[in-house]
Amino acid sequence: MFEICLSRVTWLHRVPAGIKLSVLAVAGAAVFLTDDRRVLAGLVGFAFSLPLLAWLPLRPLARQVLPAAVLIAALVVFHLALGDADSAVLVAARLSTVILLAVTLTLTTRASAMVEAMERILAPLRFVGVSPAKAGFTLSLAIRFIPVLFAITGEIREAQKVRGLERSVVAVALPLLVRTLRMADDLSEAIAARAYDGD
Amino acid sequence: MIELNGVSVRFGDLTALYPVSLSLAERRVAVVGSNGSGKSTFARLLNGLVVPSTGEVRVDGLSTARDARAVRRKVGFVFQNPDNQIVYPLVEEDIAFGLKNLKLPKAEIAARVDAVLTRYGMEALRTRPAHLLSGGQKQMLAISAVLVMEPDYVVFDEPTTLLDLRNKRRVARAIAGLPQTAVVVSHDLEFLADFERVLVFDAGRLVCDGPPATAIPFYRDLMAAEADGV
Repeated sequence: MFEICLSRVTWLHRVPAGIKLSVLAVAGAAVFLTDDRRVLAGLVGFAFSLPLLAWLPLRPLARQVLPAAVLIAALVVFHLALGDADSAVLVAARLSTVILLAVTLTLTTRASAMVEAMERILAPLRFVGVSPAKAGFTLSLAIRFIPVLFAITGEIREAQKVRGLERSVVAVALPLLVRTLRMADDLSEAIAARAYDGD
Repeated sequence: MIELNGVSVRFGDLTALYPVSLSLAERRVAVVGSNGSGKSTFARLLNGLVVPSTGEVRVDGLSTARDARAVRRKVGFVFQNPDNQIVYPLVEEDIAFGLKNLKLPKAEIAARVDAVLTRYGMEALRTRPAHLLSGGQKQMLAISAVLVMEPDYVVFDEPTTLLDLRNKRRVARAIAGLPQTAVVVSHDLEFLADFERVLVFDAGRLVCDGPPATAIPFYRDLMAAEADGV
């Protein structure tokens, strides 16, 4: 089951969303900009220890990290196959740091708090035509609809399995695309019906 | 009062609704018809989600074409599939969404969210992610999220279609208890039997407008005739 924000409150839940977003942005940028192994080790250690220090339950954390871990493992194997162990370590360190911090953020921060923080952070961009409210709302919709899309994909897979088409990418992707577009249409009507004006 | 004067709707070459003129002043109005009969188009006209191709829809004097924002504050709309109308991940966040759009103060938003959660027995679900709710709970959330905005009218587009019997009854009870005018599109004729007025649509035309005692038998006969290919 896909977790969004954990309902069990930890001290990390109480840290303002703006601070958590800023830490993610700074650490995420730093881990990709630095080649200093000591700094990298520090950032990796920080990313791994943060969920433990916050006593986050490991199961929902693992559920979200696992798909990315598979991808990271594949990249590491690829670099090792090319005989580049140094790059393999760098890729693993950088991606795992960003992914762990991002998952920790989403598990400990409500979408509405993230939206409000994002609106504050993006407020100066109002002068160049960016709408902070729209950007924040888009983020919240993305968080809301990730599990919905997972569920729809599961339903389509089941339906195609019955027809022996579970291995066909097109047989899953096409209905998913159609349903997603229809859902987007319905959603835009629902948002309009609830007096949303984008301000 | 909601008034339609010579309202028709065309989508390109397709006429979804032929000209219709009527006033809705009753507290409970039902809309029935087969799939593609124009009933959902009719429902969407009432809060400006669909703009008439000809004629005008007025809600308490406001035109849905010219005053769409003001009309949407007066007319709430509950869609068939709650999954497509819940916009925030957590229950209480989603209920607060419409109130934030109305630019209400934070204290009032919190009070109204509390009140609606209590009223519909959803306090325990307050911080639950919406995607983990059952179908019935999702529909109650969608209804609560509209009712919390305290609209004068509420339009329900097939609110019980995706629900089991227990949840159908729960939603029917919630609708029955509303102080507002409710316009309900539904195929569930048993649920509509206590309504004051029933509008029957067929092939884009309003073919019957009357109390349930006359309109529902008319609709049954119409559907039976169509099924028999008459």
